[in-house]
Amino acid sequence: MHFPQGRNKVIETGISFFLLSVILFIAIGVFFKQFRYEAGHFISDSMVVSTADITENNAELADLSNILSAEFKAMNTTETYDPNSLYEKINGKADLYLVSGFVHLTCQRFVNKANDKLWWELFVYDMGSPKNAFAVFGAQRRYEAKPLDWTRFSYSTKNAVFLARGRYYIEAVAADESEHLLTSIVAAIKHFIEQRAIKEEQIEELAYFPDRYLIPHSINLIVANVFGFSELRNTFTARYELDGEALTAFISKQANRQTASSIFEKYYSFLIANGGEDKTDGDFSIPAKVVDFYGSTEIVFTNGEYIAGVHEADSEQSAKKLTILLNDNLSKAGR
Amino acid sequence: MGQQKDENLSRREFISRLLKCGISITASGGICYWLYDEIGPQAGGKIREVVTIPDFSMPGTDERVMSIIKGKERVAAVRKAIDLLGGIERFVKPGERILIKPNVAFATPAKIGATTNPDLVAEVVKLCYNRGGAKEVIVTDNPINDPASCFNLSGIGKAASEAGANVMLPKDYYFKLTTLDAGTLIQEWPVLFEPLSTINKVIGIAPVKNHHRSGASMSMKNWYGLLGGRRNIFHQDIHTIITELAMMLKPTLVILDGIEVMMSNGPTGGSLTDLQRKNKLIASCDQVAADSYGASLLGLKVSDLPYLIKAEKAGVGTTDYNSLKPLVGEVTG
Repeated sequence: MHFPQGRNKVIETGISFFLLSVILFIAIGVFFKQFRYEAGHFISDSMVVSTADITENNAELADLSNILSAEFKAMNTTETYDPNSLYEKINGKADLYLVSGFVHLTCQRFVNKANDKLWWELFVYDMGSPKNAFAVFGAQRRYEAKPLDWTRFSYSTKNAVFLARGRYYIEAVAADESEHLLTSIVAAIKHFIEQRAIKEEQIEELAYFPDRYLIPHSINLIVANVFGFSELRNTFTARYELDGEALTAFISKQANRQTASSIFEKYYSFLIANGGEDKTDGDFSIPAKVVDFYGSTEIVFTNGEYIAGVHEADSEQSAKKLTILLNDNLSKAGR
Repeated sequence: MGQQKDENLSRREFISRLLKCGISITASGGICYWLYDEIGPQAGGKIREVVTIPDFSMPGTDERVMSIIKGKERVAAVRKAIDLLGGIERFVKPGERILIKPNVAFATPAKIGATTNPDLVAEVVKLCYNRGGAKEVIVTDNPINDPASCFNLSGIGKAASEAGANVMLPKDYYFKLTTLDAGTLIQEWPVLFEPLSTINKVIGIAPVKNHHRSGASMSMKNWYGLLGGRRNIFHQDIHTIITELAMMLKPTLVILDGIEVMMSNGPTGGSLTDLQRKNKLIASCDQVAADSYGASLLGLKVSDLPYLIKAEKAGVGTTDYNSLKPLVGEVTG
């Protein structure tokens, strides 16, 4: 058996002690660290308000208090939520936003300096695109509310303001009914939009809905499972009142003509498979499928890369009348 | 001498070194075994003890199970509703500790109806003390948002405290694991057990709300606020979790507030226009029956809310609330 001698032995012993010291140091570190683990690294504790990373796009939202007039102050620091933590703020409603492309939520509460009962909370949802923002705006629309006169997709109620602008869906909810408070809230939101130069962007499909017979402020965007058919997505709907009947028109842009044609056929088959009765006749000027669906009329057709039609019409006559108007609008737009 | 010793290792030296080496390895292994954590880290700290939630429902055959009050004013309505069932004295005995579970899910103002009305909570607390002779009334919930903000901004914290209740905001060590034997989702899941561990009766107080995911949030859904951990995963199977919550927590009484009902945009709401006056308040020993009636206030049928059917099948209660011959009353003002 050979053993190191002299200087070599001292060096090797030194190295051994050094390595053992390193291992011991790591072991001590692991030992103490395991008693101070961060629960959030393993499982989200619902009692901890999440402070998700603020993305570059949302850095400008980090402080919302600079939109306030002098009579208000912030009640808390901004809270931020990402798709993983959104439920911590709005629980069961999170899905509505998540399926619509939600990116980020920033919110903050403000209070009147002279009256602490006059407080309100601002929610700024970054939905990633104007269409997504419009989708959640439309899904929660309060039809009896009053539209704001300075931005298109907006309304206020006695205690709240709701609007979609650019990629943002904005809500402001006040603790009480107060004309003065509501005026202050609208001014603050206006300031917020101006500060960040959030532009009102056009949504192409909205222009294709005929104005005639349209029920004002009734256009919505359904992002998934439209009319119960899973392959029909991102579809704009608008409510009409025609000859005393209520009916819905819809437009859905597809990737190309072929896709539109394919989904059109599948949707027609879906209606028939679920009890619909084909009522298509050669007299109708538009090559559309007409289906009697348990007493209501469904019409579907394609125009370029668009699938469009009428949903749940009381009579075939009204449905066809609206279909012609819809098809004309799509054709005029060069589809 | 040393050089010679190293080159010619003696048997004694060899055994000695071997022994030391063996002791070192054994000690290292022993320390590792001692420190080994076979469960792993959990949310909420030391919650590894698995507990069973007691049955707080009322025994006996009293036919007064459910009351429905028509009225605009919550305080008068809840008094009447409980009186029709035999008064709070039937449910709360002198010296008992009572837990009241309101819905304090959100840090939102009371007016928008996303949380239990604070006046209602305060009145039930007072009834428990003044007429029931309760020793202690605890008001607690594990809100979705920051608990302190929720209790503060909803007004429930202040109202309950002023009525004499012990408002317990959730703390890590309040949570313990529980398993519902007949369940599939509630398996070793953290629940807000500490407040439940010392009490004799449970009274749930919830508003009737539209709920984007489940269709409706009422008495049974209110127990969701007892769950800890990353409970949002249950949203994927919302009807089963609501059923299991109702199986897990058998309350003494539930009070369902349908005076103003959140008809749309729930569970958070936001606008006063989401609310509609229905002027109904329900008190019931059967939470399924209460929620079945509550569904009608939302314009829903029992079949629209699968968790009601599931809960009935699980023996939690009946969806046929008329079979309970609900006592009907009215309050003015």
